[in-house]
Amino acid sequence: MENNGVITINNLVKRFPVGGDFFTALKNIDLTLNKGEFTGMIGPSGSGKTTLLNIIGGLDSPTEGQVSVLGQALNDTSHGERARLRRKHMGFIFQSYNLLPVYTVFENVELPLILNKIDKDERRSMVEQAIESVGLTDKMDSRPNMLSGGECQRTAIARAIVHQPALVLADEPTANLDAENSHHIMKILSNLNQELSTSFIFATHDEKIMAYLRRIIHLDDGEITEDEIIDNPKAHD
Amino acid sequence: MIKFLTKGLLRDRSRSLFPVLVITLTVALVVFAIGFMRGTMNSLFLDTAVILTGHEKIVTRAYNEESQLMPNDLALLDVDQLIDSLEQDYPDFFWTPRITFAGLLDAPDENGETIAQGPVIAFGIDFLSHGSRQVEIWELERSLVSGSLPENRDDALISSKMADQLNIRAGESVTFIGSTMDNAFTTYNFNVSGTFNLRKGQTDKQMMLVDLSGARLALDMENAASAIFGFTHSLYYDDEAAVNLRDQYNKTESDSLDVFSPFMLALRDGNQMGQMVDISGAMLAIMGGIFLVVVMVVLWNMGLMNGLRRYGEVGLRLAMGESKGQVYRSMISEAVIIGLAGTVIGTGIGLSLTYYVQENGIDYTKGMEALSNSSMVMPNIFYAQVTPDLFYIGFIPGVFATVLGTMLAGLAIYKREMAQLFKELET
Repeated sequence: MENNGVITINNLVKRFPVGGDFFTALKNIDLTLNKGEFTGMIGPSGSGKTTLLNIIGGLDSPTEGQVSVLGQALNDTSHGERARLRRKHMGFIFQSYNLLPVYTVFENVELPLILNKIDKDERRSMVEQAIESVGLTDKMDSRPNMLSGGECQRTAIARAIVHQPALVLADEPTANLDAENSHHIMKILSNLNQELSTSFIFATHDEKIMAYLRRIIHLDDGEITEDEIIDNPKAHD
Repeated sequence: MIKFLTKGLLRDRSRSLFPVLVITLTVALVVFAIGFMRGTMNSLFLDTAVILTGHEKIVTRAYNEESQLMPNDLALLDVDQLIDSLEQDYPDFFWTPRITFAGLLDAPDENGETIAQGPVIAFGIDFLSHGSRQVEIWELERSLVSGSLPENRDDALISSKMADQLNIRAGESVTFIGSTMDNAFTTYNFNVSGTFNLRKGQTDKQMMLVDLSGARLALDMENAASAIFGFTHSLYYDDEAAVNLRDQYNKTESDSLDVFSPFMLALRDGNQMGQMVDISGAMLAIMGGIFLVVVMVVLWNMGLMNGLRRYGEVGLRLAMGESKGQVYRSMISEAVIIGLAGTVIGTGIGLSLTYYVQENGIDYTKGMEALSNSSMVMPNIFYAQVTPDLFYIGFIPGVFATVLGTMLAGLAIYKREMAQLFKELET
């Protein structure tokens, strides 16, 4: 049987030192995410969404338990190996876009490919394809300060998917956008998910996003309270 | 990646143009300030060197013992041969004979009757030889008040103060009354070709300048001189080199048992000049050091701020999988490029400015006129001085401080909590 597990988490516990004590941010998390899933982690502030996203992204280490991402056990890996994993196989989308202001849309999207040392000609075609997939071909030479919020986030999406990662982590990707742009962004992400078979994980409490998700993991006080599989997301109706 | 970063660097003026401008200006300021301070100190020494000591001075051992009496009976002999060998052995200097003598100056009327008399201190200087730099180092063209420079053996320049005192005008004749090097009585008529004012307080109050050949004739000092003065070609006094040369010369050429053997003195061996040289050296080091530290703090801070300002960009690059070492190295490489560019341009501008002021000086004659009655000897024109260290001194603040600031700012990359990246990049 083919192993489709992109993320496997067993008995994950994450504690942070607070004063002389410890604050437990994540408690006994068990989770498996398969290839191509379009998953949201929802919950109130402080529920552990971002901490879990950090650990999956290799930006933080678990206190206890095993975390395996794309077949790599993160407990046993060095900073360098985790950086390599992010560079090669992950994409990131942030709430505030984090585009580099001195570079054009093309160049911002090109950055992950440069970090991955992709050949110049191949780079160009991959960047153009990614930009086309988010509908920004006519803005390719524009700088971020000439773009709207929605266009900036679309650029960030193109940057996150340009190197065709297996996993995209998105932290509140629509929090800074109005309803129309939020839906537009989610439609793009949903389409990319289906076209590329890339797994998407969102940390959000934006209800507009939830309508597109095919799996919703409810987090509260560091624990998974509900793991909901949605066969027919509302937005696809 | 280098091309990508360079593109960003060139486009982001606050990362490239602004820091390069700040470094350029700062380095230019450092180079010029140090060159000017050094030149000003040198100008002070040069005045003393020209009138009294040279950068090096060779006299007989006996003359040195009695130098305050101007004992020309103990003067150097066979001076031309001595100068030939000095020029051959020590080509970094130019060597010139000097006769220093004193006596009475008699101003007669048209019938030859004395109108006025006064004491005179005279210098026999080699004005007329081909290639002589004496007019230049005495700055006589600028100091001339009336008449013209000496053109003949018997021409003399007298100070305007003495000319006023004795009521002498250019074109008139004066008689020097003194003694020859054999201590015989002598009178000698000089034609006053002009009057001069060195604008150095009372220094030239009783001064007369004549050509060496005239002085030799007046004092019966054929091929003799009170002293041979040596000056560096750049007229910059390097104390360490001067002392080394003095020691070397005296070790090989001077016989301590022969009172008439030549004996070399460096400028610092003159009356209290050693202290002056040491104090000015210390002052220069302290002032230059403080200035350098202040400038370094400015540039270090700029490097630090530049690094911190890019906190978001660095966070993004780390999140996207660039290693901390790569990000750190790229920031330092940028700082090195920016530092080098600013330093090279700044050093060029600083050196050009220093060279200009070295050649033209900053004329402060009017300010000095207010001090004309004081006994303080001060130069009227402050010159800067281009020295070899000015070519690299700007690299200390320009590259070292900038890179150090960036390195410190960059340490934050290593201390950065990766777990906070998402939170930080949200803002």
